[in-house]
Amino acid sequence: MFLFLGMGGAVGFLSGMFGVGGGFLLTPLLIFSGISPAVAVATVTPQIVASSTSAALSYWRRRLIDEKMTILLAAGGVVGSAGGVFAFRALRSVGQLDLIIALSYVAFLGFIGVIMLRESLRAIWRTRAGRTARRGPSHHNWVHGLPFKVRFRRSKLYVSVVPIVVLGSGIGFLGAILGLGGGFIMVPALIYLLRVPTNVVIGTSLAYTLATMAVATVLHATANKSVDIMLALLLMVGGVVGAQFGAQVGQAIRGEQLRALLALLVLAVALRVLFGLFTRPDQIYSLSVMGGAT
Amino acid sequence: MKRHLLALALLLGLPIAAAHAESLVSTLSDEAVSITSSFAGERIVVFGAIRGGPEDATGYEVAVVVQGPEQDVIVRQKERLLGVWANRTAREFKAVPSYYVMHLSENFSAAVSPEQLLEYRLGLQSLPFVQEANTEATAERLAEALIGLKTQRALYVEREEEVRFLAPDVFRTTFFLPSDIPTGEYRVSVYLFRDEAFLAGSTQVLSIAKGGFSDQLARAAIDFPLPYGLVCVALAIFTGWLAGVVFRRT
Repeated sequence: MFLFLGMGGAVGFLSGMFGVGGGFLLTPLLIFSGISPAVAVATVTPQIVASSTSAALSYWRRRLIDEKMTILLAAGGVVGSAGGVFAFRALRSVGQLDLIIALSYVAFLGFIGVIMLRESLRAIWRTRAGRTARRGPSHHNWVHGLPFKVRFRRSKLYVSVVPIVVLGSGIGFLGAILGLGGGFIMVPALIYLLRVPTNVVIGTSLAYTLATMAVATVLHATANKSVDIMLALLLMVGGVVGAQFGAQVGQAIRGEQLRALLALLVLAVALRVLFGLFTRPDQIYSLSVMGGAT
Repeated sequence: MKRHLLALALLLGLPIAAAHAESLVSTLSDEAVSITSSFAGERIVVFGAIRGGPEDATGYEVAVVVQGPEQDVIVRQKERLLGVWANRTAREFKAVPSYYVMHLSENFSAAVSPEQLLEYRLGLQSLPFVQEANTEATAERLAEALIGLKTQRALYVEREEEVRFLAPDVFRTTFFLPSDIPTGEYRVSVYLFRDEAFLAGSTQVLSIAKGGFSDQLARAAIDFPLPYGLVCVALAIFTGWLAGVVFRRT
């Protein structure tokens, strides 16, 4: 019990420090500690709801959420996470869920980790060299040529709804299968792809995560029956408390160095999952009761 | 409690000299087990007494079998695929007992052969799913793996010399229910033999149910999935909101 409270606290600390949701760390950690991947993914989902609620509320008070965009993203997210939960169930019934989760984590975290590390090392190098040449995002790219344009007043944008819904559903799909909120994909995608102003990006991403993960929780509970409410509560309490302390530490460290540290952490998790795939399991046989929760 | 039962068993077991058709009386130390969150397994004692045998009767042989509710299970085998360990081979087994314990008395263990056990339909090897699997090599291997996994978790047990005679016609054995046993109706069967000939049998029901808060929660997750999911979300939003309020002040 204290293990999971501590785990929630540690991940909460890191997520507060780095400003990320922490699902991508918490889910593998739970799996390493012996929780079955199905329960780990489904239980981290409500934990993400809790952590994004407290953060989203503070952005809401400062009016830093683009509601219209959130609704469109979440509309895609609901469809995506329904698809994700359905795929989750199908994979589980053919016995390949654990493998797919592990492989996706390796691919995903490895990719993100490398990109982040490269970007942050460059930034560190640049500040060392004394240059402040930061290329601002240009105002037009291929996304702006798409049809069904809508005006977003808060983001001061006039873009197509297509990339927004696609983005929302894609991240919702991944999030439901892998037990992560997807903020660390959503934020860069909103900034670089849609050119959403940085001040509303985080709030909008958090509100999206909140809505999508809430739906995913209900779907996991009904379709897979693998949400453990007690475990989720321990993770939530640990997480929200840890996040407060993490945020204080995070403010004391420089942005690029923080990102480099996070990148190393992400890569470490990816390597650990990869290692687990190649080592011979203690038990090559496994048993599952048909129609049961375990 | 034990002494009390022993007295009962002795009382019931008073030999009746006239008819030599043996009958069996058996009783359990508990007829219902409630699994709470602090449940760490439980010992159940089976007492038995033989009635109707000759006055100088010896050489009784006893087998006690405890069987849990049946389940359909899938056994999967991991194999290396491009260096990665992945589930490859799988077999489905129907009507697999969730729990199976067989205890034999000392003289029975000495006298009986595996073939005879099969004939009496006693023991893990005589379970229908194992018998059916014997026709195919893969199924046989996976059925053996299933037995191995269950044995590891102390859900399948075969023990010789575990039924002890307290008197020539009174016996006792103790079996253990591990903490992760499934709930349901368990059948405790006692078989009496002499010179490998079946004399009498008796069956008792042991019901195992869950109790306590955390188990009610686990059941709610299965029985009322939608309200359960909604409560999870409400709890999450409340926790998040509360944290926001608490930490904004400080």
